[in-house]
Amino acid sequence: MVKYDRLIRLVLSGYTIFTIAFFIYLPIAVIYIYSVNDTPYFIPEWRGFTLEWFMAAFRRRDLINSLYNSVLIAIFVTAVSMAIAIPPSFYIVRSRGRIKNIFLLYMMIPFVIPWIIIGISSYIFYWYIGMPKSLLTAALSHIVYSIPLVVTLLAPRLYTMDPDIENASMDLGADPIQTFRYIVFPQIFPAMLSAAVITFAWSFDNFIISYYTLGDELTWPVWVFSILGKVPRIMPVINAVSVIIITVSSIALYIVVKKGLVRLI
Amino acid sequence: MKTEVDVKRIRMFISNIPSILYILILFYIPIVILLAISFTPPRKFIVEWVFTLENYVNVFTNPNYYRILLNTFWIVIVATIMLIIIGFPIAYYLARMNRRLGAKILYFLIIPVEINYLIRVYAWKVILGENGFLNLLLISLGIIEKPLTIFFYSWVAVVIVLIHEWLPYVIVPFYVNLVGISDEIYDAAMDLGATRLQIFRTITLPLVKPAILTIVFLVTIPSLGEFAIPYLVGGQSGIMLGVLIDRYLSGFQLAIGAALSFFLLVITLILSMIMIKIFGYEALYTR
Repeated sequence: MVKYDRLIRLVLSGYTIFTIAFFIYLPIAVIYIYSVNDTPYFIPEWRGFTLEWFMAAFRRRDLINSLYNSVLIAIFVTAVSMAIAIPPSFYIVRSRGRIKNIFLLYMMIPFVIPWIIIGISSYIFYWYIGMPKSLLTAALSHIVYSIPLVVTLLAPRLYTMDPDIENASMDLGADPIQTFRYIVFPQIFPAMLSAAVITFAWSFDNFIISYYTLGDELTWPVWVFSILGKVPRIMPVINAVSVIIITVSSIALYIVVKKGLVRLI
Repeated sequence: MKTEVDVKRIRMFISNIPSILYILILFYIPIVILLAISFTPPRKFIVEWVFTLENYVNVFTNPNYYRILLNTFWIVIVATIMLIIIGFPIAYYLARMNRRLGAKILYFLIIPVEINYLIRVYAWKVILGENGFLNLLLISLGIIEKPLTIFFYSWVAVVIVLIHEWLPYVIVPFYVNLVGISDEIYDAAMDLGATRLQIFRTITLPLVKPAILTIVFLVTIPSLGEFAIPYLVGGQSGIMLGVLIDRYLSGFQLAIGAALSFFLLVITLILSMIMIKIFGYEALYTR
C-alpha cells in the first residue's frame, strides 16, 4: 500500500512540475528571452543580448501614456467600487428571504455574463445618450463588473463577523459612522485590501470592456491590441514592458502576501 | 424594539441605494436599449426605430451563424473539460502536500496571469506557429518533414491559448476546496477498508463540486464571449460568436450586433440559472 502511494505521488509531482515548466511558464520564458534578444522579429534564433527594447519602451510616448491611463482607471475603479460594494456585501450576508435573493440576483447578473455584453451594451448606451467615449466612460463600465466582483470577494469574509459587536457599539452610543470607523472597518480591512488588489489587477488588465468604451485615449491592453501585428518592430518593446510589469507586480505581490496584508486564497 | 429594527432596516436600505442605482443606470438600462435596438431593421450607421423581428429570424435561420455558434460551444466545452482534466491533479497534489510549500507553488502559478493575455497569445505564436519552436523541434527530431500548420491558425490554437489563460483560475478553486480535507479523513476511510475509488467518489468529489461552479462562472461563461483570442489566432475553424458580434459592431451595424449579443446573454443566463438551481443562491458569493 505504501509503495503504491509513493508511486502516485511521484507521478503527480512529475506531472505538476512538467505542466508548470513546459506549459504555464513556456510563453513567459519566450517573452523574457525576446525582450533581450537582438532582433525585432519573433524568429527562433538567438541574435545576442541587448537592452535596446527596454530603452525604446521609455521613448514611446503612446506606450507610457497607455500604462498611465490604465493605472488611472484601475485606481478610480477600485476606489469607487469598494465604496459602493460594501453595503450590499453586508446586506447579502446578514439577511434572509425572498427580497434578499432577488437583490442578490440583481447585483450578480453583471458578474455571470461575458464581459463583451457589458462592453457592447455600454457602447450602445453612450452612443444613445450622446456621451463622448473617454477614460471616464471606460471606468464607469468597468465598475459595473467590479461591484459584484468586490461583493463576491468580501461576502465570504463577512460571515465570520459577529453583528452583536456592532449592536453593542450602537447601544453604547456610537453613531453608524463611528461604528463603521472603529468596529467594522478594522475587522474587514484585510479582506478589503485583498479585494482591492484583485479589483485593481482585473481593471488594469481588462481588454474587452475597455475596447468598446474608450475614446481616443487608450489603456495598456487596448493599446497593445491596436498595435499588435500592425507596427513592425514593436513586439520586443511590448515584451520588455511585460517583463517590467511581471517583475514589479510579482515583487509587490510577494511583499504584501508575506507581510500578511493580503490573502490570495 | 420594533422601531429600532425598522430604523436599522431603513438604514440598510439607504446604504444600498448607490449600488442599486449604479447597476440600474449603467447595466440594466443599457441592456434594455440593446434589446430595443435588436428589434430595429438591420441598417448601417443609422438606427431606424421600426419594430421588426428580422434580426432574430436571421440569427435562427442563417446556417453561417449556426456554424459559428456550434463552433463557440465546441471550443469552450473542450477547453473547460481539458482545464478540469489538467488542473485537478495539480490542485490535488498541491492540496495534499506541505501547506506552506503548496501555497508557495500556487503563488508561482498565479504570476503568469500578470502578463496580459493578448501578449501571451503572441508568445504562443512563436512556439506553435509555422516557423515556431515546436515545428523546429519536430523537424530536427525527424518526426515531420514540413512544418505543421494545424496549430495556427485554428480552433486548436484557440483551445490551447484559452487553457493557458484560465488554468490558474481552475487550479485555485480546486485547491481551496481540497485543502480543507485533512489527511486524517483519508486515513480513517482507508482504515475502514474503503478502496481508492470509493474514497475519491465519496470524499473528494462532493467537496470539489462547489469548485466546478466557480469554474463555470469564472472560466466557461467569460470564454463564451471571448473575441480577441479567436480573432488573433482562430482563423477560419476557430471563429467564435464574439468575433462575429465585433464584426457587426465595428461595421456599425448595431441592430444585428445587438441581436447576437442579446442571444449570447440569454444563453449565458440559462447556463447561470441551471448552475444556481443545482447549487443554490449562496453559491453565487461563497467560495
